[in-house]
Amino acid sequence: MEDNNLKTKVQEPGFTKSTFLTTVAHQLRNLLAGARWSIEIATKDKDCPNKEILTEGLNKIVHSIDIVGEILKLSNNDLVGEEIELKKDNFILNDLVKKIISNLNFLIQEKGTTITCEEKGSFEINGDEKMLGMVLTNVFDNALRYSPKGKVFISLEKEDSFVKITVKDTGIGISSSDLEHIFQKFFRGENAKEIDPNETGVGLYTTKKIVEMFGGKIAISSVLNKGTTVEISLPLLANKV
Amino acid sequence: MDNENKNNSIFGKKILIVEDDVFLNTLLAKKLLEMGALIYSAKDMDKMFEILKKEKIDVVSLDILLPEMNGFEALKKIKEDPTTKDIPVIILSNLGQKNDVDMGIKLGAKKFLIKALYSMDDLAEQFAEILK
Repeated sequence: MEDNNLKTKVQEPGFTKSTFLTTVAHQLRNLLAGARWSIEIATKDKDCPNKEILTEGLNKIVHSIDIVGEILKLSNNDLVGEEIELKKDNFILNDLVKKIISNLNFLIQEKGTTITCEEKGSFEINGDEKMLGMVLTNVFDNALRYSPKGKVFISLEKEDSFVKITVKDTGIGISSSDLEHIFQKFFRGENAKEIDPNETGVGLYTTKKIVEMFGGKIAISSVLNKGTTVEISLPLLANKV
Repeated sequence: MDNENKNNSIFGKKILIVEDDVFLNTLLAKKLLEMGALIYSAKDMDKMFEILKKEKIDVVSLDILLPEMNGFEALKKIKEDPTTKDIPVIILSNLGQKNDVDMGIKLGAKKFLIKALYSMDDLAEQFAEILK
C-alpha cells in the first residue's frame, strides 16, 4: 500500500531526489516509530517473555532511526529535527564508553569477539553526549563487525589538553587504496562489503564531521588482514586539563 | 492504574489525537490512557472540530500528512476560531524539514515533534510538560 503511494509520487512531475528522500524517510519513520513504540510498551510489562531479545531488537530499531536521520542530514535536506540541535553538556566520557560497550553486547556475542577497555584516568568533556554516543557506537560497531572471532582493544588516555580514544582491532583491515577514501560519503571497502553487504557507508563520513564539531580529530591506520586502529582526540574541559 | 499516576499532569486530561495510522494511534492512546488521560481520536477535519466543539480538550496531538486533510490547514483553522484558538497543539509528525517546522511553529503549534525520535516515555513527558 505504502509502496504504491511512493511509486505514484515518483512519477509526479517535479519529483526530485530531495523530495524522494523526504518521502522515503517519512514512510520509514512511521514504520519504525510503530516498531519502536510497540516494543517499548511490550517490554514495560514485567512478565514480558524474551525481554532481552526484544530489547536488542529495540536497539536495532533506534539505530535504524538514527541512520534515517543521518541519510537525511547528508543529503543536505536541511533537516532540523531535534537530533541535530547540538547540546553543550559536561559529561564523563568513561561512563559513555561503558554504556556503549554494554549496548553492543549482542554484536560481541554474535561475532565471538573479545573487547577490552583500558581507562587511564577519568575524562570529562563538553558537547552533545547523544551525538558522541552515535559516533563511538559506530566506531566500536565497525571494529567488532569486521573482526569476527578477533579482539578489540579500547583505551582512553590524556594527551596534552585532549583525551585520546584508541580503538584497535585484529580484523580484516583496510587496503591502502581503500584507506584513502575511507571518510568519503557512502564509501565502503571491498572486503567490508563481502562481510556485511547491508551497511550504508555513511558512518565514518558522519563520524568525522561530528568529531570536528567537538573540536577534535580522527585518524585511521590499517594493515590489510591484520587490523585497524582508529584514534579520536577530543578536547578536555578546560579546568580538567 | 497506579496511584502515582494521579500525580502526573496528564491524569484526567482530555487529549485529542489526530492521526491516520491506526497502529500509531493505538500505541499512543494506550500509553496516555495508562497515565490516566481521556483519549479522543479523529482522522478528518469535520470529526476533529466536532470533538473540539463538544469536549473541553486540553491538548491536541496533530499529524501533518493525513489522507483527508492537511495538518497545517487544520492548525490554521484551530487558531483562527475564537472557541478553539487557546487549545495547545503539539504537532506529532515524521516530517522534519526546516520549512515544515517553521510553518508549524508560525501557525501556533506549541511543539513540533518527530515521532520516531521519541520513546513512548519521552513523548508522554512532552505532553505532561504542556499540561502542567
